[in-house]
Amino acid sequence: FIPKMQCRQLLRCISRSPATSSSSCFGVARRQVHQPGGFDTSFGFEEVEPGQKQDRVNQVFNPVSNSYDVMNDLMSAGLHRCWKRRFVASANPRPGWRVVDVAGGTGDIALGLLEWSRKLPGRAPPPVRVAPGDGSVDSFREAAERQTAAAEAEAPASCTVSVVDPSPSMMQVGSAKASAKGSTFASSIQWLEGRAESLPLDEASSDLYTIAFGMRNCTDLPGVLREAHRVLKPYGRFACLEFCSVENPLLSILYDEYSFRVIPPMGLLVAGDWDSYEYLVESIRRFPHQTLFANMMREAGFSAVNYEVLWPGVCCIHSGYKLPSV
Amino acid sequence: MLASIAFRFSAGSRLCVACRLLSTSPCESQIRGQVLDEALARVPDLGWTRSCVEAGARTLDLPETMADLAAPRGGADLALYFIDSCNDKLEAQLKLRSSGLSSAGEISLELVGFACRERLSMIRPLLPYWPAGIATLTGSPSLALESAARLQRLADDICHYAGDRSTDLGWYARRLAVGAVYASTEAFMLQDVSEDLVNTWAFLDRRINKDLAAIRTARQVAGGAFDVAANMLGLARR
Repeated sequence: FIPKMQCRQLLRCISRSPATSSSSCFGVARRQVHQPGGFDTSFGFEEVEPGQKQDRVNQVFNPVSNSYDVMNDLMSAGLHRCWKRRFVASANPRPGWRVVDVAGGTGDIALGLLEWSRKLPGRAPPPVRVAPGDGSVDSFREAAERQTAAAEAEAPASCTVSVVDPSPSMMQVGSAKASAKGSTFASSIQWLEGRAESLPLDEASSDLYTIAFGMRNCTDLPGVLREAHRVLKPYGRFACLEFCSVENPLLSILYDEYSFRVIPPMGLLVAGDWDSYEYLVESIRRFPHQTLFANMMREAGFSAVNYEVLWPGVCCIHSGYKLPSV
Repeated sequence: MLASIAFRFSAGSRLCVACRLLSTSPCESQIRGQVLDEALARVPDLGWTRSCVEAGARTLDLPETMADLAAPRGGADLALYFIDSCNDKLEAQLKLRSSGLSSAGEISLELVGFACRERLSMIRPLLPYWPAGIATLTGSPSLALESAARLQRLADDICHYAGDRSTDLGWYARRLAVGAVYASTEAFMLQDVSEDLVNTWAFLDRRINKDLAAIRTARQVAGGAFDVAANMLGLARR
């Protein structure tokens, strides 16, 4: 059952000609809502007061939390898994690191980081020495388990992740996934409710700060970057995976058509929510260009800032380091 | 688009193709240089790998994140740094020895020989491990492009300091020829077991005195191809 109003929206979207689609109005707000006093921030193409944005964002994410992962798979045809895996490989967390993952509600990145640090490529598992016993498979397996447990007890086997997210329902989905994977994973993740602009963490407490597809939902980008700088240890690393401006003109046309014509109807059919997914594609367009965002990172105090665009060119990984000030 | 690829190709180490470095503060390049220099000292033990770079960082009391900063792509970045530092040292030496300018397109073969010998001698300390280093640079198309850009930069430096100020098509042919001389001699050197590499130096002398000497001016380089094309189009004049 699709409500009549949204049926009309669906038909309008499909029949709209490319010239009038919102993609050609890049940078122009479609729905202007001016608030008295206070500066406006963007909520998709809508202008809202900063205080309101976080509530609006929560309204988007609380209801879609259950179908979030399914929708991600559908919208990106499974590509988001490749991007996230590449992001984790690039962040390269080592065992014993303390990682803070912001806006990582459903736990994709947190679980990926844990798995990566457990199975670092090039790190051989400790050799198992078995005393000559009865030579049976079971005794060997028991000896192997005992020795691996002993080795893990003396040195940390993986990193620890603190996931900070403003939406409790998203984190519920995430912690259910972590428990399903096993107690070793669930015990290494800490779920904290909070906003990126004011993290519930101590200064200089993390080796790595990651944020995947969450930066565009943040109200105050310089504030988020300053907070990331505060929370990182000296020599710590900042990594951000986010949709970027598409450089290739042909891809840009295809991408715009796909974003504005296919994604909201898909959201309606699968998650029952047209507006949330329209907000999603609009917030991507309002996010600063990748070079501008890199400059913002430099202004916040990060060094060695660069970005790497992932195939097919719709998202990129920004990376920076907090070098100690001399 | 082709022009931009060509520009990136010719810029050598000054522009990264895969990972665009937008700016480099002095502190960051200092750290990168120190970590990778320490890592190069450990290549005989750990190879051209990320763990080698991490060991280098550990020697300087820096955390593993600095290994990621210095070498985002692991061993390949270490190998590229080795090539770049050798090229920089060679350029410094060539500046001191550069011969007179020549706009006719003649380059000093003696200087080309000196430059190639100097550059190859810089590889000698890591010679048994260098084939593995080259292998890390064949991992992906972007890495292959970058290592080709390094060779192009090397050939350009040698030709420039050997006196080439020409502005015709021979510019490209000369750099190609010098690049080919260097690359073939390096490949020969990797499997040379003679005492003190005498066979390599003899090979280098043969390449320079026979092949390079044959390509002296633009007319000779481009002339052959133009004559063939002119004949085919019926434009040849006697």
